[in-house]
Amino acid sequence: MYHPAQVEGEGRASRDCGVLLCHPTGHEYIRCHRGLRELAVRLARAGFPVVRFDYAGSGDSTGETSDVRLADWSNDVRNAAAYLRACSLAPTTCLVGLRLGANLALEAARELGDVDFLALWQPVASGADYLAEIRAQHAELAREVGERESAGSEVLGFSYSDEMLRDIAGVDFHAATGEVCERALLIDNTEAGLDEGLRAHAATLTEELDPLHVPEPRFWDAEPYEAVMPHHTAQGILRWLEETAE
Amino acid sequence: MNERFAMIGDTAPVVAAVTEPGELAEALPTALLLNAGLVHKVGPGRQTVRLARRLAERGVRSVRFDRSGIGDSEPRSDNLPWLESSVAEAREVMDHLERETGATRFVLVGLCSGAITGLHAAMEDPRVAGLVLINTRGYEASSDWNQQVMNRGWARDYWKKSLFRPTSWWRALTGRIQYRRLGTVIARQVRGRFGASEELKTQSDQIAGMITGLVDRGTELLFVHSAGDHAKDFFDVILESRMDSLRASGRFESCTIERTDHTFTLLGSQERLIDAIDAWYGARDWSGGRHE
Repeated sequence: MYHPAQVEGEGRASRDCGVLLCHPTGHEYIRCHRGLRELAVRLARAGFPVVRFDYAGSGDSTGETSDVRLADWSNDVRNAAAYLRACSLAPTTCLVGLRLGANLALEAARELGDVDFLALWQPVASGADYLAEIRAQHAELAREVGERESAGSEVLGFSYSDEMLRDIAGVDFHAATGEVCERALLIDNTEAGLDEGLRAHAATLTEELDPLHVPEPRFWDAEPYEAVMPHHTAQGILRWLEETAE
Repeated sequence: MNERFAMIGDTAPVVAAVTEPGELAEALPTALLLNAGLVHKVGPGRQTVRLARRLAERGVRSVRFDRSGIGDSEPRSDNLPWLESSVAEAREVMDHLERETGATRFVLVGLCSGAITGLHAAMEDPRVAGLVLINTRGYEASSDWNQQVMNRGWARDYWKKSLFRPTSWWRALTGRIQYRRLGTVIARQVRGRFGASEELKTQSDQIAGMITGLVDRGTELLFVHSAGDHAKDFFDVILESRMDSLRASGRFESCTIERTDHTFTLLGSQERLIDAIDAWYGARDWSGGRHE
């Protein structure tokens, strides 16, 4: 979905930077949908053209998650970036990714080679740990409702192939090497603050790294009726983009 | 099957996904799949997308849409209350589909608050030929009534489950339960044995009147409950005494989905829910005309 920059009014002009939002996946995508839509609207009102999209097998897109591999989603990010550029004609591009979407944005930036800015919002440090965490949530719910344990291919309403589960388990933020963009924002919503190892590694991926620690509820973990819009984080991303993309 | 997107409505356009079957079964009404609470149009665990695509295999056209302020749709600016606006938007979607496709009969499918929207939209709009109400609670009735019915459910949980579970007693003895709620539930249970309160009866009769009115009008009804969900308590309170006559009409059905939560998060329960709706859709006689 394309959100054109809203440039009505005196002295307003579309910014030179197009923004692509890369959602989290699975149940986290559904929980974050409205929050990320609000971020897109806020950025567009500030003059940034924005694209949101659904990965293959998720949201409004065709297929099921069981039909896809992680490389397909990475490819979706690249295609969506091309769509953003075609729609906006903006000379620079920023990818904003949340959770696994941050890892996909990072991967796509490496493959594209011409992404200027990256905002990595609570990226998945270890795919194996992430998978263990969401599988534990699944097992707890299955126990609560008395459902038989599935063969292991389902996580909270989404089915994945064995290959895809291996892909996700293989995600390792620390394995990414080399500079992929000019400037990056690393966002952390935990109370404890940014993991130093993650921060140090992220600094190797960009010419300049701006850490942003905003303790806010993990809205990707909350049911939609309980989720709180992460206003401070959204404001932080907007301010960073305004400063970075000038 | 193909899917297209549309902005529908004038006052507050809503974003909709229309699923067109490869071969349209003309006799089957178009399905409107309503938002479940605040979840956007893909539905909890993406079940609404799966339902739309399954119905398309049967030849049913459907539309999933985000009511104003949810998912991809803008909030309204006219301050219309939730129920009024959600009913108005459902009716606008029907108007749009009638203009665009010629559809004159619709089945509304709603989970939780979506079911409330569906029920009230059906009351207002004779084009609604069928209604699927999933885990309906509260019915937008008074909070006291709501509380009394919920107390019934909690009481049932206490008597049937907690009373015989050692961990529950341990929690009680170590102060890790909500004593106030427990006290209220027991007090209401005791009072309930001497007759239901007047308010409980009046509210229940009003809602039962809505439901029986729809059945009398010729609307096909399917109630779906998750096993153990409080929606079943509302269903029992409202319709217990009318069940025989409703079932005798041939237009009223209910079913319970086992081993699931309120929103059918797990895939197995989604499949059972979708199977139930799909089978119901296929078993109805939709040959009737407009339901005036």
